[in-house]
Parts: sequence; C-alpha cells; structure tokens
Amino acid sequence: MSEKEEVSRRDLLRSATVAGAAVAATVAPAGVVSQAQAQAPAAAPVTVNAAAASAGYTFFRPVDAAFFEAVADHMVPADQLTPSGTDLGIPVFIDRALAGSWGKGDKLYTLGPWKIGTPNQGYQLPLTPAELFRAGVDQTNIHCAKTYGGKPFDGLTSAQKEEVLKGLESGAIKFESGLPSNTFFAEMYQTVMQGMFGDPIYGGNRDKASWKMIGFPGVVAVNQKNIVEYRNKKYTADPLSIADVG
Amino acid sequence: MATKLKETDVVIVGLGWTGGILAKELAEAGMKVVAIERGRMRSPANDFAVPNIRDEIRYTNRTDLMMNTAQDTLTVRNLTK
Repeated sequence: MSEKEEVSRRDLLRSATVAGAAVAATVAPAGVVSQAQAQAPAAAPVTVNAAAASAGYTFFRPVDAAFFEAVADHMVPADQLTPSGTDLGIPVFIDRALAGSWGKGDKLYTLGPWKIGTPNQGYQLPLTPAELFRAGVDQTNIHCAKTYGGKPFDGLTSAQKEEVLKGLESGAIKFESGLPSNTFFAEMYQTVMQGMFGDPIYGGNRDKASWKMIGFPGVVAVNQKNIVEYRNKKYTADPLSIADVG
Repeated sequence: MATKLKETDVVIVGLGWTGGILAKELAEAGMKVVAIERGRMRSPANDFAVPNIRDEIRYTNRTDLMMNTAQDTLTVRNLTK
C-alpha cells in the first residue's frame, strides 16, 4: 500500500469516527454516509499526555513497586531540595533498567566458579540484576515480616526502614536463601543514585530536578569560551537533557 | 571458521593510540599495514555524536562501547577458601 493510500485510509477512519452516528446507522444508504463525511469538520490532531505516558511499570510485580517506591521515598524524601524519590521517577528508572538488557545481564559475565569474592573482586553472583532484585525484595520482606510482626518493608515506620536499610548495607541482615544482603543493597543503591542523577530520558531525574539541585548543567554545557569571565565564579545555566539537544 | 586474509607486511592487532602511531610510521616507511579491531563497525557520526555520547548511564555505567563481557572476558574468581 502506498503512503498516499495509507493516509487517505486513515483520514477515512478518522472521519468515520467523527461521523460515528451516521456510520452506526446501518440503514443509511452509502450516499448519505459519504455526504456526512464530506460535511464533517477537520478533526483536531490527537494529543497525548506525555508525562502520563512515561509512567507505569513493565517489570515490577506489585510487591516490587511497593518496595522500590518505599526505598526511593525513604532515601530521597520530599523536602526543600527535591521532590520525593517516587515523584522524581526513581522507581520507574529501576523498573526500566531491570526490564531492559542491563537487567537481563546482557553484558554481565555470569559463569562460575561461585565463591564469595573479596570486596575488590566485584560482582560474583550467578544472578542477573533482574533476578537479584526480585530475590532481594522477597528476602528483605521475609526478614521484615519476621522482625516487625508480619509487615513488609513498605509497611514499616521510617525508623524501622532506616534500620533495615542499614542492616542490608552492612550485611548484618542474613537472608534465609544465603543471598548476600549487602550485594543486593549495593546494586539497589547504585540504581537509586542513577535514577536520581541520570539523564531524564531513562525515566528518573524528572524535570532535571536533581541537576537543578546540584547545579549540574547537563550534557552540552561547555564553558571553555568563558573561562576568564567565570574564573572562580559559579556558572549557572538551565540544565540540558539529551532529549533537549537531540 | 577462520578466514585466510591476503598476506601483508605488518598486522597490528588493536588500533589504539599506540597502534595508530605505529601504523602511521610503518605506512610512511613504505610498508603495507593491516590493522584489526574486534567488535562491530563504529562511525563518528553514529557512535560518538553529541549529545548521545554524553550518556553516562549507557557508556560509563553500562559500558556500551566496551567488549561484551558475557561473550569474552578476563575475570577474577576466588578459588581459595
């Protein structure tokens, strides 16, 4: 089908929608339908709410969504510096990271032997990030339920969340499955930071709020021409995302 | 399967800073130089263009320009208790 034919077919469908009543009236002869199409005003272009379209999870189970929203909001509370971690889009960033090739371990060496490495040997588990995060959520919630009367992590008080996150970070919390809790925390913390400070094209750092907070100018600000003028002075510029430049 | 290429004076494996200078000097001295890189073809317009090349998540955190370590890597594993 040629492009022209495609467009005219689309126009036809659109005018059919506008003149829906006429089309629905199956008793109307064909001539009446085409007359109604001819008289229908040009339909306004369809618009979408881009912000609403970018939200939503493709990897998280409900339990993951609740967990990572609670983690993001605890690590990045709404205050005078930033909106809350969830409003910044950090859980959306994590969800997309896990759903994508990074989460599937596309470039990750995951063959044995499986010994616990020393800290400087890096990641040594057979799990892809997506598998690690799911296991980490489940194991943390098992720990929370046992310790805090049946509640999952997102049901805890702020002080209890702090206690759990510190226990994960230090590795003091021992998961039943034997998964090292500090490895889970380290990977999770890294994705929270990436979701906070990474480029907004990845779903986090909404409205470049984190860049505005720290005064980071974004991708293309090069100040070499003004180096004399700005020596020892603060350089302020509206931050630019990759999406603003491309 | 191995492919047998035409014979040449010099083959440089990996055309980085050093290999690039070597290739230039050897070619200027009149030798036929073939340089070999692994991985797919790269072009400045598509692989190194601003603003996408400033994408730190893609290139720094997820090492998108580097060799895929799931296919080929050196790794450090603990074999002792």
